Amino acid sequence: MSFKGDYLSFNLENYLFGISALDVLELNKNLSLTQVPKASPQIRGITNLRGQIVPVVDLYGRIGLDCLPKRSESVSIILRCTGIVIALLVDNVGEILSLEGETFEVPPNNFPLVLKELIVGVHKLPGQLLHIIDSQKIMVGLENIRGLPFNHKTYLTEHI
Amino acid sequence: MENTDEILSEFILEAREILDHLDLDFVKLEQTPEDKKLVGNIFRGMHTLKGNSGFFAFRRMEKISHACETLLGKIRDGLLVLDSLKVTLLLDALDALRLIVIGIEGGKEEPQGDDASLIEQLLSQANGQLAQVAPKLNSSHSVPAHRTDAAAEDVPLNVVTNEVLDRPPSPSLAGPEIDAISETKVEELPALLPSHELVSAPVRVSLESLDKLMSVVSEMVLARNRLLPYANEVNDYQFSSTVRAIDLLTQELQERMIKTRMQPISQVWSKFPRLVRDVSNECQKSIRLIQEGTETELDRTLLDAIRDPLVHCIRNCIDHGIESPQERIANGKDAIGKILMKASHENGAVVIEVADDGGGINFDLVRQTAVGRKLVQADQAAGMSEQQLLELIFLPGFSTKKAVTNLSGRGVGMDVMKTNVSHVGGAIKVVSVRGCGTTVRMTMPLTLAIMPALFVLCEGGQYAIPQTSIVETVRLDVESESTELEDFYGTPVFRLRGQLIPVVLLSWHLGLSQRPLQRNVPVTVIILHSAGIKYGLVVDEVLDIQEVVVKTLGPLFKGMQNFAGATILGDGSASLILDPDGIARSCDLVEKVQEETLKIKEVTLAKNEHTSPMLLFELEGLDRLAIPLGYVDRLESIAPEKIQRNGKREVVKYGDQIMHLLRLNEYVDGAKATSSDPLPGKPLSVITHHINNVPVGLVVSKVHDIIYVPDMAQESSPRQRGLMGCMLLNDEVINVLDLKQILMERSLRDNEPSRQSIIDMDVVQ
Repeated sequence: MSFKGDYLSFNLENYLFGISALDVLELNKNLSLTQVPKASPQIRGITNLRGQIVPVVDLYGRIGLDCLPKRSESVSIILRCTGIVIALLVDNVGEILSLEGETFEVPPNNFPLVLKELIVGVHKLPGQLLHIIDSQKIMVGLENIRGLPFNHKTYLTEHI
Repeated sequence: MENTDEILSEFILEAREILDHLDLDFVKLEQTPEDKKLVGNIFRGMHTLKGNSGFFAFRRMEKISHACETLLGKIRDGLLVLDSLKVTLLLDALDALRLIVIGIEGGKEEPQGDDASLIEQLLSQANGQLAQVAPKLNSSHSVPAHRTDAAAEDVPLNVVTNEVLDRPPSPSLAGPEIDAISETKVEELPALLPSHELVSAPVRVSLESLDKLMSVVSEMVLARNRLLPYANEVNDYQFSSTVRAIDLLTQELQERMIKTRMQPISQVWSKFPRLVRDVSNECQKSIRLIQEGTETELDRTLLDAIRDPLVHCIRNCIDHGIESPQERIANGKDAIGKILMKASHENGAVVIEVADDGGGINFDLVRQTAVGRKLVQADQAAGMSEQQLLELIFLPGFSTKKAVTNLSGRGVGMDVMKTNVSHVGGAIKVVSVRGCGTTVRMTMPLTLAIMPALFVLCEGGQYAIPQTSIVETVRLDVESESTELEDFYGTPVFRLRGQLIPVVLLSWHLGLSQRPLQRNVPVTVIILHSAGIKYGLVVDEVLDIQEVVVKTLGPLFKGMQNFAGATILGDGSASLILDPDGIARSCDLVEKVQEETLKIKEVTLAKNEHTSPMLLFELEGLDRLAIPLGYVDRLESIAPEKIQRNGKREVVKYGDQIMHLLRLNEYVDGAKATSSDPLPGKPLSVITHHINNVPVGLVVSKVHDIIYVPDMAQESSPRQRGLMGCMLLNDEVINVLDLKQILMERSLRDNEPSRQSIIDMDVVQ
């Protein structure tokens, strides 16, 4: 798998994430969300995308970040993932970065196994790590009512 | 490259169509072997197939179709007579051709395979009758005709068949003169089109693009809905007339779109004559299939949904239903069994009936099997009614057959029927009379894409409930005397006309709240009918009924039993559609209650075979009156202050319509006038009935219960006004209302004021 290409960057908490721009269909603002009771906690609900019912995935929950009350979740990234269209809720979207393969590095060995599938590695940007999410793996395991439980803990304090 | 792909897919489509038609024609031909026109049709179809496959150089197809053509040519020319053996052989050839077509579709080229023995059989049949003249000619080749799957790889090769394969497609095994005849005939054919295409040339559109179109149209409907309010706000004539035009056009577009998706049921049914023929041959029974209403149209998706249930149904009819010819003759029936398939539109639904004139369901055997499989206790089983026993045959794995054959005996068929039909929102009903036959009646919605749904509010969210599964909605008001929810040791239940109905709290069930219901607060309960049981669903509020476009939720929500799909509301947001069956299943309601129905509650009812349901009610002075339940549409309770007047008549607003009230005690002999309003605010009990879609409310004193009364009513003599007759039920006399007479009297009275004085009546203010 090549990690060279265009990535759409966005922030979740203090982390910078990137997703292959080729999979992104469109960006949308303020989609109205309908909650689906008893669905997996990582699915926030469904939305109407021009007549198509699209599931909305909570990326925070999916990658084990705590839910912050101040999240705006006003932007959704619509992407094609294993043949179906899903929407990811994020707070903001950054620029599209064109990256070469040499800045890429795989996760360290002690990186939690459950996340290794999803976060396939990082691109070392100047001063920041861009976490690359494999968009095709976002749906894996979500059909089960109980998604994979994972709780992210940061070992670094805020100012470092 | 793309171009050839297109031509190829065109070829596959056409080949399939021809094969389907040939299937049908062959079976028809077997019944009327003299029909020369039919033979001609078959011959032309086969020839088109041969020509097309020659164009693409599909050699196997070409050879098989050529061999068929040779045989058919002789039949057409009257040199050979079509018999069952030949038809079987030709149908086998069709199957082989179909397999090749499937192979071509998958791999874009002809699959490998050996058809030599099939071709040889076809040709030896073609030569068969001639071989009597010169039997030595090909006796070595005349293999007995056995059912071979020609495309199967394991057909043994032998020298003779190899030889056939190596030769050019022209059947060298046939006599030269015969060969010449068939070839010349071919040249005479003016058009190589199959007969059905001569009538009209419809455009083929892929289902996918139709679906896309449909979803765009429904989006457009929603966009229009958003536009409409502006037209009222903006005071611009031009603007509002444009909006009006868009409104009308969108509506027409939607209607036409729905129509486009509809297809005649014959699409599915055309496969059945062949199926019936094959299966009945296998069972050694002779059966005639009659199809009625083949032009009845259904939505495309529904057609797919009914295919399997119908196949199982037909197989059941043939294998279980229809007796062997000997048995039939012994029972004084025609040796040929009959199966009737009938489709029709009824009340906005499609009704498909499959009836056979076979032996009917052996209820004793069902009873024994049920006891044997420990589904019910022996003493319970003895008291079960036929209708209750019929419920049993739908259970998965339930079969009265002792041995499992390749046709039936696993107990899967009825289960498949039930699940498939209820999956698309249909209902299934079986009526069986021992010795006379069985009728299976499936009621399906017209279309899946759009259906009426009731919107309810639950914890701030809007949910839609398919209208087909709603029986009624009940508001348990503390102020009125209606019962409230009761506690069945932790499980909420309530009494609906004396019957306990389990209740599910929607907000609890969906995990939206854990707030217990407060006493003395009105509760809205929606009575749902699902999976054979009735249960109540408590919601916060009932909104309105809307036609909704059903959309699937997609694979992410596959495990969710509670929802049947989603729909898009007028404001563009999505709303979930509840699945009454799924909710019943996930609450374990279905199993719990089905156990319940197996226990016999009312043995007295079960004993009476010919009973009909009636609603028992009372009027002042007459406390046991009944009205056939068919006349009852709804029961309402109307506050007296809501009554308004329209001339002499009393009317109330009923939904969007005006409902006339009819005080029954004015029309029935023996009833007294309502004693001048006992309690001023007491609501009136009203039975609503629709005549030509106009509601009429029958005002009664009190509604009791639904009872089952014997069909035989005694006519009263002299005739009592307003009553059809009376009957005995548990030593009490029940008077049956004659609604038709009452309605007629009412219109007479309305039109002839002079009659008013004759009739002993009392106008209640």
